Amino acid sequence: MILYFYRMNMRLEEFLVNERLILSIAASLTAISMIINDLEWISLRSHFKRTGIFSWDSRKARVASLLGAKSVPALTLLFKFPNILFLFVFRVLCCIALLAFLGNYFLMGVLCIFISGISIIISIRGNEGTTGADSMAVITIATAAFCLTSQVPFVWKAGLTFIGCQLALAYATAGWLRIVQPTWRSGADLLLVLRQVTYGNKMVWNYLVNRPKMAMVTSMAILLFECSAPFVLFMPVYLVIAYLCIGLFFHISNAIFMGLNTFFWAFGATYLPFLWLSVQINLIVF
Amino acid sequence: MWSVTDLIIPAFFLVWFVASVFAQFKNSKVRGYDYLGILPSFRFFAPRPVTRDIRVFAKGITENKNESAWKELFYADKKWYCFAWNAQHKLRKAVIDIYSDFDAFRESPTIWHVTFPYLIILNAANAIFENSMEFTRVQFMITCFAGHEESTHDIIFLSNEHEIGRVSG
Repeated sequence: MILYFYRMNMRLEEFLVNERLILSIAASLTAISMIINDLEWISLRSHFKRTGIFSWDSRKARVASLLGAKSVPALTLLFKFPNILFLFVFRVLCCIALLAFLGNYFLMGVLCIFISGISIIISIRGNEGTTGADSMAVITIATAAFCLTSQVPFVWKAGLTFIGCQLALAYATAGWLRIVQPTWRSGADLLLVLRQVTYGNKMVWNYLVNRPKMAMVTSMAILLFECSAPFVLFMPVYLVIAYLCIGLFFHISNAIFMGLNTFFWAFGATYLPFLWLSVQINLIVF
Repeated sequence: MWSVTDLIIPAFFLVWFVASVFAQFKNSKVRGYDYLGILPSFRFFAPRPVTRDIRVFAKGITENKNESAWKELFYADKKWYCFAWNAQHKLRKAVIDIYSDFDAFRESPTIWHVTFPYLIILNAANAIFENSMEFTRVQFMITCFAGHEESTHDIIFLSNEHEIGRVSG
């Protein structure tokens, strides 16, 4: 497998010098994440009505305390039911257009500006129900907005570096904060997560709860994978590719067993920038 | 020839990344300046995970103190195809988020009823009974349970009783 990645590395060198192409692929994968996400929000439309958990009525007082009472009438026009749904629909349409215009970098950049703007506007309403995948998606799409509309290679490179660093930060934060906890290292906390209906999986929990050593090994494997992200950037490219393949497997497992479906797309979108960054570091350092 | 914006954008990325790093610390002051909501939180289940599932119930109370059965608010189930489509997760996550926001006020009975998370739940509880004219008051409770392990629910919060608000017309 390592030999396969080593050979692939040869062809990758040609691909990885096209920064705008990498940015546009990252933006496209993120758009898929956002399309799924927005369609899910639209399917929950009844909960945005006056009586629902996402109702504007119960949120506008909070927004008024943050942005001032004068902002409420304008924001009410945007955020009340059913207008809020139009924002989701508009974002879906922009994401579909982004996928349709793959290759037209400037137009993709303009669409990314719209998508970023809508995402920031929606976040003002309240972030209940959102996940880390949403944060990563906004980071990627906003970066693509800045970079794809620019003609300067230095800006594209800065954008790819930024996205790659954000992925390393995401994994390292989750990994290092947890690996210092004995309950995470023993696998006990992993079992607590798997036990939940919200994040867990009954079949996997039943399997691991009677096999504490396997729970510990699984938990440690996840933690080591996450903790090593910043160091992987300094490794040879074929090892970085192997690491990212493990990452894809990790996110597919999270989607199947935990139901974290959009993480696969949102985090997967950042893998090419991460790979690009590792190549640059290899070129500079070694 | 480089323009000023060519340097501003990379500088913005640098500031954004440094702010993102500081935002990962608990009670980070940087978050207070995040007006656009662009600083991520990558603390997934750290340092300790949420250990139990949360469910919220509400009941109606009549003038004669008769009570309805507890009805679940924000019911969300998990389907086998959640790996591709998991809209219900947003509901469950919202309940956890709202409870997390509310947790800080649980020991402050004098003000908890004016906090935003309390009002969000009360608003939804009110909606269940506002069309049933027999009920005049409403109360909600937050419970937790050990997920797949057992279904016994512990009550972790019981709200005040509130007069049901009805939208006229």
